[in-house]
Amino acid sequence: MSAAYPVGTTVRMGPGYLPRIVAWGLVALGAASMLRGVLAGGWRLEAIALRPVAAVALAVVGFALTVDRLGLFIASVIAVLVAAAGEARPRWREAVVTALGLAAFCSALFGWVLGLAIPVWPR
Amino acid sequence: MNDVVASLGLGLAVAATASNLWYCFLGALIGTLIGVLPGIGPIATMAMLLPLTYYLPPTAALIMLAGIYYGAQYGGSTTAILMRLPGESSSVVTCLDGYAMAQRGRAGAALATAALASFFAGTVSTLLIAFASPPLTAMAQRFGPAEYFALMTLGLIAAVVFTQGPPLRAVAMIFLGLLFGFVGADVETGRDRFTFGLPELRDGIGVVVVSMGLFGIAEVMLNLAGGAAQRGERAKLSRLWLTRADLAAAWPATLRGTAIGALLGVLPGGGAMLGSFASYAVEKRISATPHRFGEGAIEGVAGPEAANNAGAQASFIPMLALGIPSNSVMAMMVGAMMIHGIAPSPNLAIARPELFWGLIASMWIGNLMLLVINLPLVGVWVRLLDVPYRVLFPAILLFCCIGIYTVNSSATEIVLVAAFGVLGLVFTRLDCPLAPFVLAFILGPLMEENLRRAMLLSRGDPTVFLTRPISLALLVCCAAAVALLLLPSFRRVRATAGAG
Repeated sequence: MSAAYPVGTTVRMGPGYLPRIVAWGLVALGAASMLRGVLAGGWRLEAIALRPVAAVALAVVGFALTVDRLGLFIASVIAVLVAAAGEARPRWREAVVTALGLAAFCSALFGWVLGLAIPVWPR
Repeated sequence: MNDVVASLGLGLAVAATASNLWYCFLGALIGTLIGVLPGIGPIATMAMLLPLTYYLPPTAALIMLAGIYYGAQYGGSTTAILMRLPGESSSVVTCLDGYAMAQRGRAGAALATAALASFFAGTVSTLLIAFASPPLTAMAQRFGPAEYFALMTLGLIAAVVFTQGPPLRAVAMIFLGLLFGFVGADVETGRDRFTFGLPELRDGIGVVVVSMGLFGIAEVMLNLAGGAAQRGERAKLSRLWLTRADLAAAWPATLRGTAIGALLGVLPGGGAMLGSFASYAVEKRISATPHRFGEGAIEGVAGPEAANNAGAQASFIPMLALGIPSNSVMAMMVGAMMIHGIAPSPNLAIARPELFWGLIASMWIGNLMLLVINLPLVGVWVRLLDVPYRVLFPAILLFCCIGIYTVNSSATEIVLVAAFGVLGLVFTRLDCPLAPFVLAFILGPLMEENLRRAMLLSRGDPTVFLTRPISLALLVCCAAAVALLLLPSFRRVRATAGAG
């Protein structure tokens, strides 16, 4: 089942031969797993709800894209709102309150109290 | 012997300064907090707080981070007993008999047992660290690259043997982890490998990035996707006192649990969880009345609770004495040391005795504090669970993002965290264990370096691993571990431990 990830394609000659050995080992293991899977009569995966996964990933990426230019406060609001979309039944009013509250709290804690090297406002 | 006592005295003096006491308390408090809350583990918390430790002296930083780890073991058992909700993976077993005791109106007794057993185990394993580290350190002084390579190989093999799940997948995860560990500029030639032209990847992928993605973000996704764990009805608190019969039953179980936990904790890839499962299995097997297990047997609480705490602390031994992190929590500790420019090595006890012994002594003080934090304040902790997850999870995400950003001010790393989050989710759904991956990821670069150096020193003669006695002994251990895996009886035990 580890054949699910692209084994082997990442093989690239690097200095030293260890990466190559390891990659080929992975190819062999992937093949072995696949063979076992086929012999065992295939396999099924339970479906996974994509919505929360996508929302959480997007929230983190969104934070990454905005924090440099727009600052911590706005990036936090965006991240929390996007993440909230991942709930089965988002409660938007509550999400907005949470977003503003968390953004204010984090800005205060990390920006001012601890004085971390993180921009709080747009620049 | 006298040396150890004197050193412990030094450690106590360091740990008992006002500021270190405060950080110890803070760590234990935060640990309890996140131990009580499901959906956030000690690794993610340590990763989130790691950047903040820039501003602390190194000793205080390590004391606090260690406190989070063992504090989480205490906190996790509280919710396991009161609501059948394991706050941490290591307290899954405590749910079985702890919650059963609580339903019979003996919640107080179960909590007291868990706390006292943990405290006892914590005390013993603190002493174990103190006494086991110097000889190990002395031995490690004679280690050459060949020995290090053999030792790390043993670590990886042990990770396969002692984690749950199919061995084939664990091996595959190790190879994949090694591959990820190779990312970055090559140590000797400085050439980029697997960086896809991204300058951010030249230094390799950060341990914090990987663990926060795999353990923090992926967990949030899983929780949101799968719905919260089924929680039992909250049991009423009762008197905390134990009866004489309770003590008589719990005492030997605690002793056995401590021994099992400490033994399994020292092994590379070990830690808190394995010990608790093993201890429960042992208690059930040797009990004269195995049918009571699952219905509120006090041994079923005392043994595993002692084991998980002993395991948590014993896993510090390889890190402190040999400079090798044996699991992802220890990798965090190493990360914290490196932030302060301290390279983990067998020389730590000699070069920085105040840090080494201060950390060890703080563990005992921390355990004492936890006893106080936990027992009288148990009601406060349980109230925490009323915080709904939909408020909690954005906060966790946000702290993760900010934590990563403050390390290098790099937005790319935050994107990487998201990617590892998705990866972690996929692995978990495919039943591929994450622990071997992280361990291989951490050890990979070290192994490569030592392998190359060993080859260089021996002029490419691979028999060097077999002709050096320590290296040979370690490789024999590797072979023994593999043989263990092939034994049918061991496979059965392993499978039942996995099934819980």
